[in-house]
Amino acid sequence: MTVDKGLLAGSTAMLVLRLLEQEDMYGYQMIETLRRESENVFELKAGTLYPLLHSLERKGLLESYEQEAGGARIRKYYRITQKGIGFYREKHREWKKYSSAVNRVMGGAHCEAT
Amino acid sequence: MKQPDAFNRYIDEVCGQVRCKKARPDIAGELAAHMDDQQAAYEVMGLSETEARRETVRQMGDPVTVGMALDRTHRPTPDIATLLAVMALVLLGVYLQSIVLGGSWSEYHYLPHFAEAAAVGAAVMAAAYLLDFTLLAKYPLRFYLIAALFFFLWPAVAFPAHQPWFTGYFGYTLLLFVPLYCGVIYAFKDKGRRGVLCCGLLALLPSGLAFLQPAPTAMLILGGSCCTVLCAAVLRGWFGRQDKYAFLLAVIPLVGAAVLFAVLLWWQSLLNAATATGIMPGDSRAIFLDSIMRYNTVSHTGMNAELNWENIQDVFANARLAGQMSVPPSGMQPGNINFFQSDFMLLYIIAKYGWGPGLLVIGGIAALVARMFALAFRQRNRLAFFVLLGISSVFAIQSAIFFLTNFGILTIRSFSLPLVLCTGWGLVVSMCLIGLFLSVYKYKGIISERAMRKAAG
Repeated sequence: MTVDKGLLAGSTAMLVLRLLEQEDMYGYQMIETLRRESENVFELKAGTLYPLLHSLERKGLLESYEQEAGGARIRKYYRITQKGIGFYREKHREWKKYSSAVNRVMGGAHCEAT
Repeated sequence: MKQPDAFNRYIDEVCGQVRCKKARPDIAGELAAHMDDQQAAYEVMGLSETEARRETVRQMGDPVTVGMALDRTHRPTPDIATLLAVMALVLLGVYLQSIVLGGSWSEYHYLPHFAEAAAVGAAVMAAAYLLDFTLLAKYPLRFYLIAALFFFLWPAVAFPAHQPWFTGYFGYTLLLFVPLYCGVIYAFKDKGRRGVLCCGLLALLPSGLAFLQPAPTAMLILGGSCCTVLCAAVLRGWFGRQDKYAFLLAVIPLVGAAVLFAVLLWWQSLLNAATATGIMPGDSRAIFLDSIMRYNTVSHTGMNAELNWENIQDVFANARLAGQMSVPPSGMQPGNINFFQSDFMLLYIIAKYGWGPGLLVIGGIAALVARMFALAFRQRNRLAFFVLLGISSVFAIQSAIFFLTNFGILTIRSFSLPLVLCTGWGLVVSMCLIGLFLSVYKYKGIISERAMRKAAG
């Protein structure tokens, strides 16, 4: 089922921060992990991800470092900062409140993401 | 890894939308690595190399849209708050100096002189803001040694025989060595204790030039600032060593400056003895030694001969929050303080107008210096961190010497308080350093360490 991209747009930052809260990742790895864990619902394009990552880094929510990835290739990894963890938790609370409200209006079971 | 042409074309088109050229290498590298990973994944899925490349480019999205989004994220951001703080301090200084100097403001042509310095300072600040600080990483020793040669030749060529009025120009301009020294530290990455030793010894170069003039206050500021940056570099593992021996080597700049300063004070005692034996005027050695004496404020041409620890403490004990101080038993009054060379202008302001204006000056400069240090420590790019820390240290030490002199704790000739109680060439140099500070800061988060090292070769 194709999901309206507008539903994803507002929560992409939250999803990215969630991934990085679990472990440091590089860009391609984030796209693949997101696709796998969402069972192909979220298919983030690189052209959307990298501007977001750079923006979050400039705001101090992430920091990056480089590691050799075999051969002459260098991979840029991202790591969430303390400020990023605080931002993510706030966004997560907002999301839980929002999704609970939507579910109540839609008449579905009260759903609390964990 | 060599990129296929299709990938290069895509990356070039994306980067073409990013106006900040310094950000392009990092963006290109990251996109190239991503596209390699994506192509490899498609080939594992069974696509041919050509099909995998085509699909990879398609999946990346429209290059112009992607590039414009990256451009928005990678714009150099000027630090407006610091710029406004600097302007406010300069205006505060103009206001206070116009009140203090009163009729003398026009009588001694201070206003045109200040206006000229401010205009030159603003132009120099703008020029420094446009400088490419990454050049410090590319040619560190070259810049450093050329500057050293310039400062060595300048007094001999332009103004022989150690003219005292020239010392101010020379001393202030020497402070511009500090950003150059930060580039030198950057060049010695991972060089261990040998690197720390080399940096420590190279820091003695500007202090030595100050010694030759002599400009003792500049020597202390240079020694302290260079030592601060070098210690910070050791602490952050820049040289690959963080042991106690590395720290001992890192204090060479400060110890060296202190030793040279002690030597100058010893020569001062020689002057006293030489004067007693009647050295004829015009003797070049006497003129040289006499210029050292000017760095003892109490004996400086007798203009502040009445100022000593007790008198200064009388001022503080009898100063009011606003308005002129009450007269103590010693008879000390604002009129006893000579402020025309701005050395004791803060003391005069407190004596004549009260603690209110005095604390405004102290608080203003302290707030600016604190902000400068805070911005320095936010830098992840090492060269940027060193340069911002170095400039912050110059302002901090220069201000500290000024305050300690006005409080009677130091008896050396201070430099004027940066930006606030500052005119002439001192104002121009301070604004130049601020321009460089703002130039480095605007690239915060844009230039990675790897891109910087690549530029440095």
